[in-house]
Amino acid sequence: MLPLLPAPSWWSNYFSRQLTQRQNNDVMSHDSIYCLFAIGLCAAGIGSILGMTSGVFIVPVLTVFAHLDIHTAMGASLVSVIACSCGGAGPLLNAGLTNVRLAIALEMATTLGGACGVVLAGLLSSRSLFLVFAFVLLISAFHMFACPRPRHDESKGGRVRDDKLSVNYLDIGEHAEIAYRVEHLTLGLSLMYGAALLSSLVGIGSGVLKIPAMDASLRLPIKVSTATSSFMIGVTATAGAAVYFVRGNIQPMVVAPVALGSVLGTVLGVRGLLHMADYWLRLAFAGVLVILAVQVLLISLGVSAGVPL
Amino acid sequence: MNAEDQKPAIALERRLANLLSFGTWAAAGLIAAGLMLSGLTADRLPRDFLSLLGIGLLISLPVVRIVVTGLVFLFRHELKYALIAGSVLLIVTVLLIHVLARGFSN
Repeated sequence: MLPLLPAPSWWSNYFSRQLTQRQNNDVMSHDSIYCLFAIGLCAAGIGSILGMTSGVFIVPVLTVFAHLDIHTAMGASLVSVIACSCGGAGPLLNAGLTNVRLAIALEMATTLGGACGVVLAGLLSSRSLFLVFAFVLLISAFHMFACPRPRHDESKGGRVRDDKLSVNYLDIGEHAEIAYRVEHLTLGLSLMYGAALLSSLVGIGSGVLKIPAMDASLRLPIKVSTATSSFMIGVTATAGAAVYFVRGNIQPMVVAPVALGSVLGTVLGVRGLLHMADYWLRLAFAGVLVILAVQVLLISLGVSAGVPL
Repeated sequence: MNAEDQKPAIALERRLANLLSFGTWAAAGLIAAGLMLSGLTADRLPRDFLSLLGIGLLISLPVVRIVVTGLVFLFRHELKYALIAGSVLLIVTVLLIHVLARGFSN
């Protein structure tokens, strides 16, 4: 059963917390602002090309190199993820890469998985969860690298539940008009639920698992998976970001340059995604998955090297 | 799916693209104005107010997007998708209340 909302005295605590926490970052040099802007720009640029959350890159950089508190870094990372999702959505929707109906359907599975993960957090052994996560990442990397989809993803007999999910788009990178149909939607929903649940349990952005899950089950072109995943990640990040915002963990002088950099990084990253060939996109994605798997594996073995994810 | 069938979908995508692009740039404008004020004045209030307003706008955009998508599906009598969008909104709201309540009780 969900706990009830806190009493009205909560508001006074909230405002005092806002003031005290934000005073710490009252003065910030121009160099620090430029540095945070560059971090947001690079992380969002890479994140939006690959359709995974920029938070995977931002949190380690902000905590290890910028020596920021983990909660401040997480707040900045969540806002950056939303900036990536919303900033990149316009060009990707106009290019026909984002499948809105599919995104809405999958969002139901991912938000439910994320919510279950939040409720179940702490009940399971974190070491075994990290091991499972690393294993899933390695399988996903292998799948992305070794099982490329055909160039034209026309359905070849898979069970199609809803023809409104079928779309065609012009792929600039591949110089071809691609038509695809969504297959095995039930399997896709189950895998997305599992990906969101596992990600939520270990506290790592689910974008890294969503794309391989969509690729394996729904048999979508990689760019459609990337664009649709990017479109969806904003919703799951919103719940977390809203909590950080209300609790006063959003430091304006830290988050503002990261968010601005993220918006610009996304605009550039999306251009890269539109013009990139599918093969290189898969290769880059598989590479990042392997690096992440090694990092998660080290954490599960107790060798975190001070790099939080 | 033929070209005629795709027209409403394209209209929905354009609408969402405009909403999200406008919202993102409006939020970025507010955040940039807040940052610029930090170089002009030592007063924290207007600077933090503008930045937080922009950040708040950015955070609310995905939820606004779900609401708009659900309403568009509802007006088009695509009840299945409208119901799914409503369910997503409900799950996000419940999750938010749960996490907030848990966070403040700690």
